[in-house]
Amino acid sequence: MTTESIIDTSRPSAGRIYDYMLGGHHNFEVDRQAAEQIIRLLPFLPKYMRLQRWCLQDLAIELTEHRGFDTIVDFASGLPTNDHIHHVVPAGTKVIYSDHDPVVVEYAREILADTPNVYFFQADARRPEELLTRPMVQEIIGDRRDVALVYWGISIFLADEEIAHAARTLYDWADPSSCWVFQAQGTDLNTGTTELNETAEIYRKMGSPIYYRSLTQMQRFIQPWHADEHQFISLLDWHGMDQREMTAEDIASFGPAAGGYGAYLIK
Amino acid sequence: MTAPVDIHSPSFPTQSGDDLLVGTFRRALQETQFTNTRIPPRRMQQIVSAMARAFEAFHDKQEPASVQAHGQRLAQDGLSHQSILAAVQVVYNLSYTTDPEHQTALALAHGYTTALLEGYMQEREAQLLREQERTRRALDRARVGVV
Repeated sequence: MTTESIIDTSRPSAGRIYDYMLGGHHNFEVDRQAAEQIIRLLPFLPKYMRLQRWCLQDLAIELTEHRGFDTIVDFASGLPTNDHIHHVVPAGTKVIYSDHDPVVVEYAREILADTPNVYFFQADARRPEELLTRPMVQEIIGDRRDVALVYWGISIFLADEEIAHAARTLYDWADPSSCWVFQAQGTDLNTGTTELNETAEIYRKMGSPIYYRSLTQMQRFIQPWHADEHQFISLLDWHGMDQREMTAEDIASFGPAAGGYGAYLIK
Repeated sequence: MTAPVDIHSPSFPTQSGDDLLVGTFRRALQETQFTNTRIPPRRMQQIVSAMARAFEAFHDKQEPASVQAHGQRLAQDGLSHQSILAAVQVVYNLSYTTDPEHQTALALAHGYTTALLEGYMQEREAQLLREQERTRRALDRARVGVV
C-alpha cells in the first residue's frame, strides 16, 4: 500500500484484487491476472476474504445493539456495498467510512449518495490522526470520544511500527468507554511457507507489501489496548460458521483461526 | 393455464410444504454460500424464505411478473449465479416429487424458472452497466482530484 500508484489502472492494485476475490466488478484485467496468480498459490484465499467480509456486519450489530455505540469510525473500508456496516446498524447511527484509494472514495460516495448519517472520507489507516482531525469528522463527532473504531481487513498491509502508531494514536484519542474492533489478519497461518512467500512477493512487487505474524506478536503491537473478556476469536467462530461447511482442505489451509482473529479491544 | 401442483401434498409427510420448501432451498444454497459474496450466511434464512414465498405465490396465481421482480431482488441482494441455478434445480426437483406424471410439474417449473431467470439476468446486466459507469466516473473524478 505504501508506494502503490492507486489510480494507475495499468498495474494491479491490492484493493481491486480484493474486490475481484469478493466477486465484484470494480477491477480490471491486470488485477484479475494477479488475483488468479495468488489464488493458484493460496486457493482458499477468496473464501477467507469472503468470510472476513461477512464478519463486518456481525461486528456492526454487536457494537450497536449489544454495546450501545451510536458512532462507528471505520478505517480502510473498501466499497460500502450492501454487505457493509451501515446496512445493519439502527437508524440514526453515524458511520464514518474511510479509504486510502481516491477511486474507492469517489465510487463509495456514489453508492452512498444521500444516505443519512453515513460519510466517506479519503484517509490512510496508517495515520488515523489524519481522519480523526479532519474538520468535517470533528463536526460529525463533536467532542465525543465514546465511539467504536474499526480496523478490519487491513492489518496484514501494515508494518509493525504502523500498527503500533495506530494503536497509540487511537488510545490517546479515545475515551475509556470506546472500543477498537481489530482483525489480526494473516496470523498463525497454516499454509506452507513457499506459497506464503510467493504471495507476499506478488504484493510487494505491486507496491503493497504484506506482513505475516503470530498472534502474540500482533498483541504486542496493539498495546496498550487489550482484548475484552472474549479474547481473540477466530473468524469462523466470529461468524458462527458451521465447520462442516468448510472442506477439510479449507480448514487445513485456514489454520486453527481460519486465517486470522478478531477482537473487541478495550482500554 | 396449467393445473396447480400441490406442494403441500402428502408426499411431504413430516413437514408442511412451506417448511419443506424453505429447508430444501436452504440445503441447496448452503452448498453455494461462499459464492454469495454479498450475502452473509446468517441472512440466508431470509433469502430462502423469500424464495419459498415466491414459489408458493406463483403456484397459486401464476404471475410471471412478480417472479421476475423476485429474481431482480435476488440479484440486487447479491445472490450468485451458482445459487440461482441451485434454486432452479430445487424447483424442478420439488415439482417432480409432487407430480409423478411430470407434465403439470414441468409446465409450472418451466414457467417459474424462466420468469425467475429473466428477472435475475436483467438485473445482473443492469448492475454491470451501472457499475461500469460508476467506475468510469470515479476514475475521472479521482484523476481530476489528483491533478
